[in-house]
Amino acid sequence: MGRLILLFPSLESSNPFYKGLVLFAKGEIAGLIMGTEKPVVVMSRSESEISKYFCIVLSCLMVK
Amino acid sequence: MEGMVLSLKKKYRVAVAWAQDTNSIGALNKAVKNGVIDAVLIGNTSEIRRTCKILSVDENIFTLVESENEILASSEAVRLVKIGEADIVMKGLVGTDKFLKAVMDKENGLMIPGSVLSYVCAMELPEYDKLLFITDPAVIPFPDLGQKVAMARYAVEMVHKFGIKKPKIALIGASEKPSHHFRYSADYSEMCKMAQEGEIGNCIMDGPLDIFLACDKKSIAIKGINTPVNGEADTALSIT
Repeated sequence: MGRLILLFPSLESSNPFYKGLVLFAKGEIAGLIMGTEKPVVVMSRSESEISKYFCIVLSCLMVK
Repeated sequence: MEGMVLSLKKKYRVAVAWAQDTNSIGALNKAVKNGVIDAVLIGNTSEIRRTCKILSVDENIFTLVESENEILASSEAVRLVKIGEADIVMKGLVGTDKFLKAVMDKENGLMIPGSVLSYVCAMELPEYDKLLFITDPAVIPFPDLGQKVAMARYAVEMVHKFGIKKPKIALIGASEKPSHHFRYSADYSEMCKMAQEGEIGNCIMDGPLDIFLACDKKSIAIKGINTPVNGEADTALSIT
């Protein structure tokens, strides 16, 4: 599977883009805060169990 | 994204602040059972035990630490990471603002002085053959040039961890034509220059591009626009 980074000019554009895909295209997401000493997992409290699981795995990948 | 698990070389310890909700405990249970992590759950331990019981999760697979409230639970989770007792800190049922306050605390937090805090998310879509990395959908409202560069570097760093040596970055806009009507145009042109000079890390960058040009090969052919970001070479660059 290929990988592609999309950098958006603002949160106003990126946030509706990803939420639209989660809602209408059944996107599964895993996200992480960057710029800290160690990985910080922050998700919306309503996030699904599987998304939280993917976030945990992603954070393990990013431990320095 | 299931494949991420295969790239993991060792097991890490996660400290979870106010870990009482069913989704967090469910996800942590799956991660512990799959051998990905060990987890320290900080919060109201009788509440945590009750949630475990409801989900039929064995509470003994977790280390439980009693905490009075969500603020104390957050600072305890951060403290465990700070002193090396845990590798990752995770938000449970606590509000994001309270949790991040502990993370960003000048003395006891996890901030790297001078670094930009940003959010990168990976998205898998059933009908699309690429894993998309989106930045920044959550933390920086209107990134300036320096913040955009930091965002790009973080995303590149993350994709490197997925085994891709030279990731592609599309700088997204409303059109491929730079215009003074769009404030991102100047930043994007500066960033492309920086990328060519190797200042953003090992990556291929182009922009502005609209979503079609960035993600859909057919649009490139129709519009006759040449961009190094989209094309057949993508997977050939990967080592996975």
